[in-house]
Amino acid sequence: MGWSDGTRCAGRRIWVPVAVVLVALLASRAAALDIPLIFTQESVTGGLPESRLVMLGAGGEVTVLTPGFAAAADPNVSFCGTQVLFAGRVRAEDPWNIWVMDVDGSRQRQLTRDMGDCREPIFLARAPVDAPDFVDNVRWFAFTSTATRALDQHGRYPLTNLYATNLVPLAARGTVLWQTSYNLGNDINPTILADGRMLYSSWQRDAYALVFSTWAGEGINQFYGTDTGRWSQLSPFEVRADRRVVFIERKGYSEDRSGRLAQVSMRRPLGSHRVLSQDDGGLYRTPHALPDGRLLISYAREGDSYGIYHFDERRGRPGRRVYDAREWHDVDPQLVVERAEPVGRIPMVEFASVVDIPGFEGAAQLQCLNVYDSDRPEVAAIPHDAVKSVRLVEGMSMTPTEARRSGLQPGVDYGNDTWPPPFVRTRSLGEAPVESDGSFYVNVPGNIPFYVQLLDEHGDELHTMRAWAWVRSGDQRGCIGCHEDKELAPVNRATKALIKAEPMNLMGPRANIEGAD
Amino acid sequence: MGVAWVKVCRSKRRFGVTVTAVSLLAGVLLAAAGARAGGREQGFAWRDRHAVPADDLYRSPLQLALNGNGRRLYVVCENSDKVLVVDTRRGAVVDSVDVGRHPFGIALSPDESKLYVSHRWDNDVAVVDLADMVMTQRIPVGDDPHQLVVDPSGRYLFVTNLNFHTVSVVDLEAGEESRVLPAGMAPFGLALNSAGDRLYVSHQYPLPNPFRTPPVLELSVIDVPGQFVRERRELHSTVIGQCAAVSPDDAFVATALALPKNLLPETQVYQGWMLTHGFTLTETAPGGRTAYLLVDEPNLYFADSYGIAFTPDGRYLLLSSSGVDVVTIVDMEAVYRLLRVEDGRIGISDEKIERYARHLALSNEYVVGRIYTGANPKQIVVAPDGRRAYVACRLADEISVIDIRRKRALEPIDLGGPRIRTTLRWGEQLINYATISFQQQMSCITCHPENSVDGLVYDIAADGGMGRNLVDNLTLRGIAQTGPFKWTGKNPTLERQEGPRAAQLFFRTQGFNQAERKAVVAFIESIPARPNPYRQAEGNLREMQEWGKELFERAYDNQGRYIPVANRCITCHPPPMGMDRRLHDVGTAGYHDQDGIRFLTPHLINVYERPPFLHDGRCYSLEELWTEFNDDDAHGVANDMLKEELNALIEYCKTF
Repeated sequence: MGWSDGTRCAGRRIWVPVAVVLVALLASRAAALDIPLIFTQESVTGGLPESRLVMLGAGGEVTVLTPGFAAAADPNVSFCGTQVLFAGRVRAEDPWNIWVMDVDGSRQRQLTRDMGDCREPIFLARAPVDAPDFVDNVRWFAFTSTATRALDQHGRYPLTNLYATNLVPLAARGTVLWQTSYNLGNDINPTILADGRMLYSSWQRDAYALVFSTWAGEGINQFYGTDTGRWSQLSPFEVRADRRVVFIERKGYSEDRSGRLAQVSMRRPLGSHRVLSQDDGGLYRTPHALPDGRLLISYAREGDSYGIYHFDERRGRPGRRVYDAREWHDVDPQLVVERAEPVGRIPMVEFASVVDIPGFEGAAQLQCLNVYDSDRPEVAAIPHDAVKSVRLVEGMSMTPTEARRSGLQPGVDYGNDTWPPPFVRTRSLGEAPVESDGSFYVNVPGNIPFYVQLLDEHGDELHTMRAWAWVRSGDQRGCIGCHEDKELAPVNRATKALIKAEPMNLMGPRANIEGAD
Repeated sequence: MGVAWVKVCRSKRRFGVTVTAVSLLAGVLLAAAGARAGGREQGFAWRDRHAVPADDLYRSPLQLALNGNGRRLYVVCENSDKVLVVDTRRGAVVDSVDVGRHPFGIALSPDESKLYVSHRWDNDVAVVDLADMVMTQRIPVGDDPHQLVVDPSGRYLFVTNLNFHTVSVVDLEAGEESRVLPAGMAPFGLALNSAGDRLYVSHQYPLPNPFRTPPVLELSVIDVPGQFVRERRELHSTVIGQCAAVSPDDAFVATALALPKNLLPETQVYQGWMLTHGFTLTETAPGGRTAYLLVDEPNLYFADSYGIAFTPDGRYLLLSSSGVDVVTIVDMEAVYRLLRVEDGRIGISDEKIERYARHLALSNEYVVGRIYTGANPKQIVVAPDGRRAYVACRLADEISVIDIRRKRALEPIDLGGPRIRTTLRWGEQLINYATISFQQQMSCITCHPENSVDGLVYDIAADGGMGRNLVDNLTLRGIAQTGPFKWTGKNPTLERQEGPRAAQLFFRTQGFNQAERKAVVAFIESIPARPNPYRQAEGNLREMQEWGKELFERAYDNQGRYIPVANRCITCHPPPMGMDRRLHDVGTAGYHDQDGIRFLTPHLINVYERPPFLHDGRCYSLEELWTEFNDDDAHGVANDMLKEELNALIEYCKTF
């Protein structure tokens, strides 16, 4: 990877369109906004360009921002409103890469290379990463990538994870690239919350749920939806004006990520779900919001192209049309407007002095307060003191070649019911004792996906976690329970495991990756 | 682009004046302040290095008293040593009276002819004649007096003495303290029931309890006519009890407090991992139970509960969160439904009470309003007609006025403080403001209430791993020139301490920027130690203290054996601050200490006011330092001492 100079948020630019194509106003255009809008146009006919970014000016004029691209999508406007991150392919056969440009389409620069398909970039807060003084405070951004070249756990799609990197080189280290999620399902649709967390759609058991972590990948946790059946929550967007998150919701998954419009309140995400759209046969995509909290959505009835509309929340259906070109799906509207920076954060990642285990580089720590603290009936039903140990099991993805060698056919639906999933190899990282109060404390390899099994006195499985967890290298993570009620704060208690303070090293066969079972 | 639609940053709105203008003015004033006289209490000399004249002019309203018809509001102003009189109809200050140093509590006599004001730095109570607006009498009480309550007869005044852990009963006719009642640790707030026969005492520090067990605050119940402590209730897993209030039907007493998670390793903030904020509701019936309710939400915290008040009809409870500038309005009918209250009794099971104490989303059930106030809201009083509430906004020098029925803020009452923001004032605002932390879960002051300590021991996970290297919290008072910092002495300066380390390990944000950090450090360095009641003028010692000094400096034990220099108290704790800035092994390392057995010698300035002791807070009294944790005389030769000698040694240590 490599890139030139970074963010220009420090200074304002005068709006000067350069090398753009002015497109005549289309007949279908309706009430334009008084704020410029950048959005994606996807070809309805499948011709080239497959997709492009355009700007709808406050005066209603439409300007194509990516004329040199075979495909461009996923715009994200900087907090100062002067730059745009986007995913693009210059030629149709190129992989997707992340680019940055000024909002007038000028000064386009490629930011990623050789990382598979990179999509969905988002600006992050500025942050320093170099201990101990943390003074090199630079702009970061996150994106999704298929850099592992592996398949997801069901063999359906290329495995997609989240990555973060700095837009401006660090004085001492230049560019730092971190993989920040290690899910073996897929992680997509990242967005940044006002409090600095990344919220994204993460494939869990059989659908996409909303999950958050820090921008550096620490503290992954549920936001909404892990256990809500087969509904997927996609394309989340925080509406800061009234503290809610709107998203697209659908049963299962479709590649265009369309569905109905729903929301949860930040005041109580797990207890405030509400479907906003009436079922009129149309489909919604990519919600966004005006600064005053009114929603913008992409909407289409069956057979029509998507257009951009206000959303009439009272009636639960699209309101005034903002823009709709019949030969394009108009999606992913982003306001070209200054907006508040999210809260920044110094990461714990790479701060590895606390987990300094000889021969065990990049380790992390995990402790659990009480495995019996759970909102899962099957765990809550386990008699106290029955759990004697935990086993951590590492999951490893497969490339298409590896899958075929294992007799699996990528693209064939093997269902969602088996655990571990079919396109994942596993191996035990080891077992650690669970104290009589339900606590355990382990050192684990950082940056690897694992799941946890609760074992009885014979080493037999009492319960198996059916999702992937990880701890970033150098990080320390505390769990309240085994999927505890996420609305409950922890009990203030020094557990037996913490009082012993002798974490079991669960390194697994780190030196011999071929030894996977 | 010509488009800029940005919400006004709350922090800018909150602190008002522009930084640039203030910085210029503050710079000039700072230069002018250089020649201020020193020689006052320890810490002031250092304060003078930073202070400007305007710093002493800030009002810093803290506690309030409202007269019976709601037209006169009396405002205690901590910085300017005044009580202001506010005409609530005009919304203006109409009079003032000078009182003693660091006034805190305030109470009106039943006939409204007198005001009583406690002075934290003078350890007495002022009697103010309201007809002449003059201070007519000063009555000595215990150390660090806080809130006051007058009994219905008007004859007796009850005063919490935070550092003496007592409640003084003052006979106002005799003009003297007539009785001292033992309270819990650091009594703070007082709430009298409507019958006037029960007084409830909230506490700031937890009771002494076994190492690594949850902190427990006491809620003392005083029989007012009999002037004795009738009951000692326990508020489990709570800390920093501040103001208290009794419901109008006398069925419950509510206490503003925090529910800490100090026994957990500090690995994250999300999901209430560091601490939560709220209030307790305790049945007043004998042996009554307590419910614990949070005002937080799953993704937002309301740090630093302080003021609390019921509306006269009991329908609403108002609670100020001084770290986030919010007054939360709680619907008590919803609370009673949730708790299944009948006849003043909580009807839910103990298990549910425990669950609700952890529940971050329940606030959605009973919080019906969040009113943004001026900076650092403290005590709340509600008008007799229940329509308005007045909130002392300490760092805004104003009284916020709340329309309770409409649940909105009205025009605040300006108390006339300086229009500029000095560096010290900015620093004070910053350490009181919880936006520095992820989801506003804590401010610096959360763990350092009144710039002191919270009496808790913490597991800073990054220091040696989770469950290891537990550390006692240290006071900010008199901290200037006591470096290096941390129990390991790793941090050479406060700037380092308040910088990335605090941001990364505690706040989980980016922390203070460079300019903010300078202001924060300037303010922290300016925090003086309180006047020490054990210290005589001119440095003279009482007989017992003199004896203790000899023991402190002795070279031979009671058996005539020579005490090596390294084992004498004075070697590591030399005057005037009682510290040598070096690490020592004094045999106090615990099983959890991973990074070594040597610890930085703590200073002894006002050591009596900050239990627990030792690096990990295992020791709850100065006496136990030698009787429980010094088997091998490694922490100074003391095992030969008689009890009287040990007492004398302790009395001397208290004089630093």
